[in-house]
Amino acid sequence: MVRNAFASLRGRSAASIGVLVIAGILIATLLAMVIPLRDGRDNLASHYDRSSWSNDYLVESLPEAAAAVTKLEGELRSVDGVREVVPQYFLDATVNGEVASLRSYDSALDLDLVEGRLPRPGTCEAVVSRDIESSTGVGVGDRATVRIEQYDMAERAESVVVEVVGVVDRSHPLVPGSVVTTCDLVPLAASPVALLVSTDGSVNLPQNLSATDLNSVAEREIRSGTSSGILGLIVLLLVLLSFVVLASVGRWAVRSRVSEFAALRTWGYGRRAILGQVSLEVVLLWLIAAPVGSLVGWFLGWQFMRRVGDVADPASGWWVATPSWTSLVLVSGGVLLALVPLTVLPAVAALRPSVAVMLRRRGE
Amino acid sequence: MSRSTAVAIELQAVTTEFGITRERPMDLSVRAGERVLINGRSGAGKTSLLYVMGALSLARSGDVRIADTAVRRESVACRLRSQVISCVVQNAGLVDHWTVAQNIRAAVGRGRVQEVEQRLDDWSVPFRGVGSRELSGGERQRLAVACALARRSRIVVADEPTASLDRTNRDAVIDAFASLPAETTVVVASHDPEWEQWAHRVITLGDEL
Repeated sequence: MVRNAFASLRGRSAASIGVLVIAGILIATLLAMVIPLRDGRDNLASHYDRSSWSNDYLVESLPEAAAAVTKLEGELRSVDGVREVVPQYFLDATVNGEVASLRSYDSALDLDLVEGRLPRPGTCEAVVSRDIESSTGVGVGDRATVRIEQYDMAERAESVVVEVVGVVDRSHPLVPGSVVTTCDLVPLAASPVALLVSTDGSVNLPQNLSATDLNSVAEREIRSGTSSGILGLIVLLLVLLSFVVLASVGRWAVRSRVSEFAALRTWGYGRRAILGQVSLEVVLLWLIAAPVGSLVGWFLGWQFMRRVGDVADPASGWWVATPSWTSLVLVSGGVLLALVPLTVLPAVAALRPSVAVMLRRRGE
Repeated sequence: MSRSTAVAIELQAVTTEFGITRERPMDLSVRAGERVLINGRSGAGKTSLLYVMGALSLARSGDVRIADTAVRRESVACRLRSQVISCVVQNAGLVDHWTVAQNIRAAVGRGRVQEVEQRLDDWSVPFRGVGSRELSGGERQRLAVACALARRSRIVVADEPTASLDRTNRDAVIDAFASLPAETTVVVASHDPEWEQWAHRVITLGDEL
């Protein structure tokens, strides 16, 4: 059986085998594209699960009146165990026409500096996230005009000019497209959007406050990405469509082998033995198609996620897409499951008639 | 020459897929060691009858016994083709995308490869490093015959085994069939009258049947 399987794979035309290998690689590619989309969020959540954030809380539902916010800040500072309360200012803005989030430096935690240095307090310096650098071309040493869009105050727009001193990877609050500045944003913003409460870990915040620890916030931000789900659905539809197309390829491939099956059955090989040979061929094809297609699909999925998805920074490293063992098993098994209908099921149908009928069908 | 009285192939009221035996049930008994030639006009159903006798297809109706085994299911037919019967079909029936050597090994098993190669040498059929597609029709036919004979089956059925051959090669093939062990039962379907001298019995499929 093994010898016959190798002989069949070696002897058949390159086109005939090539079509099946390409079909297998295509399926593996499509399936593997889901890996970064599936595992990206878990990898990010794991990457940003920082013990230093477990004692920090974000209070997001703030009163509308500025005076009430100030009063709340005072109340929180008086709670035992609270070390610091930092108002968070996020402003919708554009840099060179690209949408960005302008954030106050005080609100930024654990910035992962990848180039340059961090801004100094008391200046009007800024660091930009890597995607802002790549989309706007604004980098270390540049002066950038950040146009602030105050949607709640129609028609009003102001700009602030910042000195870019560094480039950072994503950090809290895990939103790509950030410009973090030491400029004073208080005059530009109506009120803070949230309060960051740093504690020593043994604190009981008032029950009526909606406070979330930063690790939970980080996980929520990562998992709230929606576009990856849509992309996953598109890939799934492509996979299903490819199954239909490839099933036709499988039928064609088997039709060309009726003569071979008829000869083997004439020599006394049973249906099971022939199906065993075909299955072995599938496994051999799978050994080629699964790794190649998975690698291609994984790379495409990662690039897809960086450019279109909402999960990671466009500039995130490949670690974001590191596949889990579950994903690898699912993709490998999926490719094998796809190749079975592609080859074995048409062979089952082809072997159903008697040898005499198969001999008559040779060359059809 | 005395022959065995044991029955190798027995058909009772058998109808086949095509030919005159499709509508007219046939009784036929072939003794072990007997050489039977089936001839008749084209379309008479020689191949269909031969396929039933070679367990390549099941009868439409009636009883078929081969080597004391009732052939009613494909699994039984498959076992017979594997252990009892060797078949030579029209247009050789080889795996085209295999080499000649791979075809021989698959058809006869590793143990009898040398015997086939010896015969192919005698018949001037190339086989070393040659693909099946590279052989002519006559060479393919002789390869199929050589494989079938080397299996040393108790029953050999052959459909037009000399159809693609010139006189010299035809005679060589008929000689090879004639030199099979006396206990081997052979059924050949052929138009060629040269087979009549080889046969113990000639069955003509026609209107008179």
